Amino acid sequence: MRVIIQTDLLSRSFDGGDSYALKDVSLNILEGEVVILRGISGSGKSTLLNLIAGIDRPTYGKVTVLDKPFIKLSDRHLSRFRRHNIAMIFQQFNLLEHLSVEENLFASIAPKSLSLKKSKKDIEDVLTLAQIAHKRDSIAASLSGGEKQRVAIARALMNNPQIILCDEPTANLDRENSLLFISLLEQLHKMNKTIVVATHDPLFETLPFDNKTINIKDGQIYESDIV
Amino acid sequence: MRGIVSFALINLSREFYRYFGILMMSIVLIFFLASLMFVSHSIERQITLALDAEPDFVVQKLRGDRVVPIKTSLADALIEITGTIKTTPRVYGRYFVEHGNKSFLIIGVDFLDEQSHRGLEEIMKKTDLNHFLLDRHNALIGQGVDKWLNENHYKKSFKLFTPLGKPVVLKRFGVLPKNSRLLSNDMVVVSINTARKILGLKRSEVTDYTFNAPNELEWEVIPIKTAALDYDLRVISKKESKKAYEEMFDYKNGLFLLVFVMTLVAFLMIVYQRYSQLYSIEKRSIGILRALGWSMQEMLIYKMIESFIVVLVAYILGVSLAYLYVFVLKAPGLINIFVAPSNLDISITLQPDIDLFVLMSIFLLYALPFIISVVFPVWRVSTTTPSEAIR
Repeated sequence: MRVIIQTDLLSRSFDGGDSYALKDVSLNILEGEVVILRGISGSGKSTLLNLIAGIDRPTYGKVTVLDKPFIKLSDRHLSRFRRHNIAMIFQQFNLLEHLSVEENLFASIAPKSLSLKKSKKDIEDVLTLAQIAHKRDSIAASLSGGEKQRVAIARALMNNPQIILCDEPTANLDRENSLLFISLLEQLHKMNKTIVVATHDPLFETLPFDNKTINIKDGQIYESDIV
Repeated sequence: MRGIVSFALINLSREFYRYFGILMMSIVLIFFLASLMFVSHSIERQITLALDAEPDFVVQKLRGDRVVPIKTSLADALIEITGTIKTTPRVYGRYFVEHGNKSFLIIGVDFLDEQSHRGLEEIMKKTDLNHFLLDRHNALIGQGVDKWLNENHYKKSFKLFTPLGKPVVLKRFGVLPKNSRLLSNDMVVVSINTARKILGLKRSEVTDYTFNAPNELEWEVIPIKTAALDYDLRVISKKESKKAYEEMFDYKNGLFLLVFVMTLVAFLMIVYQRYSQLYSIEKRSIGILRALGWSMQEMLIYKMIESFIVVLVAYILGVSLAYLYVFVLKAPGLINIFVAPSNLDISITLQPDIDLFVLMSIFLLYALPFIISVVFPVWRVSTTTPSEAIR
């Protein structure tokens, strides 16, 4: 199977290089795989996801996604590449709280200038998939945590990306909504999406579908199912 | 681009309350600037038109730097100067009423002679001279004089006094046209001899002489030739008068522009300050959009469009309000700053006369600095990584 995500000695330091959030992480993730990044808070899971998503820059090391080395891409190309291929679901959902659900979804396709008809259809499709169509006109700020998470999933799917990265997606959800999220993840897995989830939620220890686990501690991989 | 425009409109409609203050201040500033430009442009245009009707040259006699009457014997010498036409004697002076608080400008005209003043020429063409000349006490009066006479219940005639205290009764024959009001507002046009009587001039004296010179190439030489006729003659060309008016307006405009620029700078500093210390929520929005795949360039275009819409709405409203204020309400308050309020009340008809340059100037003076002061801080946030902006 094709390698979709590759990191090579990836490192990220803060405070002028004194402390490393991530150090020398090398891994390969294959197409369609579901990978669970495990580790306690502050272990470097989110930093790794941010670097793979291209929304943060490594101190050194390389990230290659779909054969594109990020380091060689200009901001314009990296942004466009991210828009089309990578979606991220955040712990805090990161919705534009003052906009409606529909408008939040539109935000991720606005730069593409699609026709109104195509935009509406795409929005409708993902709202249905994420089971949140009934809230399309609600303002994001008025939604519950579970609903916000489903909007975040819907938004992540707007550009039909190959890769979906989830950062502590169930940290702010109750058990019922967490299970719903996992069932949505299963659907995405069936659609052959490559999914990386950073979590320390025990629910992800017994997922009802194939997955691999990487354990991270102090910014380094210390245990991994990935070859 | 279409998508970004749509998104900017959506965002603005949802966050209207956050832009309300800026929008209101923008409307006030644009209204102020537009009113100022409309008034000064309209008055300048009226003055230019009025000055165009003035004779090309005025010859005065000075003694001890005071203007004194000229002997009519000078007329022959003036007529002899090559390149000049329509040499006309003028008798005029101020006649004070209300204990010197108000004054009329008495203009004496030889109605049988040709006129170098195009304005008077026009007036004479429109006046029934046969009828007018039947009575040497007939007078044409300006709008301001007309109003003053009505207020003081002088219906058909009014009385002025010579310097020796003899009364001269003038009959109201007609009112000078409205479009020349800025210059003719306080005028009382009478026959030359009547004017002499009111102003205390002898039959052999006039206040000054005017003439025209159709060939502008001669305009530099003619004053020299004229001044050579006598040691104490002063020659004023129409160009000099125009320049003096322009300087006066430039001075007033300059003062206002300075006040405007200072206000604008203060306002833009507020806008810049607001955006440079972007609320965490705004920084976060930028970070989220960047994380969704918006490039830095797209972010800047988005913010430019957003601020452009604010500027455009403020511009349209500000300019429209200024138009109403200046051309419908006649710029109460502002007009008195441009037109000297000391003499007879002047009610100028500010003609709606707007050229594209004025409109463009208003837009550029305001829009460019505004957009830059919004976009620059956004650019600074956009250059950080999306993860940092979201944090």
